[in-house]
Amino acid sequence: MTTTTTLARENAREGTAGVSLVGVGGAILTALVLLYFAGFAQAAQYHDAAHDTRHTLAFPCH
Amino acid sequence: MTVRIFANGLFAGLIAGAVVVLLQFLLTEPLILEAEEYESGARVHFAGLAEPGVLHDHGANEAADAPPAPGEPGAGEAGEAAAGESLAARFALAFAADFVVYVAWGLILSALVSLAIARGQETSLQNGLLWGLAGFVAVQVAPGVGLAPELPGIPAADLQARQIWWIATVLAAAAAMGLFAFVRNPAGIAAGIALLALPHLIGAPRLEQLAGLAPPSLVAEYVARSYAVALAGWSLLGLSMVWLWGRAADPVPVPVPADDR
Repeated sequence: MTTTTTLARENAREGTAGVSLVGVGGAILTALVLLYFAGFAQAAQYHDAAHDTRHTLAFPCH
Repeated sequence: MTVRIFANGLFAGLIAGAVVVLLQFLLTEPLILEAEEYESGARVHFAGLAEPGVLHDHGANEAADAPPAPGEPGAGEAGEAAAGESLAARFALAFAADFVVYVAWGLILSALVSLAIARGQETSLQNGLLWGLAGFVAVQVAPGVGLAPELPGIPAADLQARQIWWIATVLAAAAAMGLFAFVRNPAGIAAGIALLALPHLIGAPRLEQLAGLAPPSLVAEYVARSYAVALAGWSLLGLSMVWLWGRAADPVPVPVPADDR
């Protein structure tokens, strides 16, 4: 019963039953921050840590 | 719904990331290390065919000027032990970064899959594979046509210009995949083809004269393996994503009054 009410409240807050725009936006934003540090940031510590990953996954690297 | 987007993105990213770590360790990492030996001058391309330094004096000079790096001939046993330790640390960081990247792709894919499911898309493994292949095309193939996977020691155009072109190309290709999958009328398909072609008509940043210290055959081997790793990673990301979304269905959604929409 509690679950159902919570869900109903969440659905009401987020607009439609099946779509969570907060979740979609939040997940994409989180992903972009992660990608920035792992794939793009040029500060030495990020570049060096992720160096082999950037090469293997074909991000532009140095 | 919000929690499921994050949880499924995280878990699918970890599943795909684990396989990418394994494949990177087996396939691409040895070639990166080998290329760095050419970059540092420990090995010289054409060494067997010509005097070192004649064809590639850049690399040979560097080798002559620099003190032997740890692990290279001349550094001794202590150096080798230190090199082993730093190599382990280097692998650990690279593998952590693999997980970070694949969790990031997982979160984006999870967000998009949640929208498709809300529109009524089935959580079949076929759809999962299509999601994965679309990601592979958008993130690896489309930018790779202009900016091939690089080995260390290969000069390339200005980094920032390449990053900007890469991001724009991935966004355009992802939009094209969306048009092919969800619009599917002649105008949508034409727009998708235009989006795929446009970055290449503009052209990726490229040096006028290409060069590199590693042998072309090593680079070829590396590029082939890089795509193999990416194809495995993306296929698995798509498959595990849709499997996770289909696994435990949401509790029956409570009907929401129409005026709430």
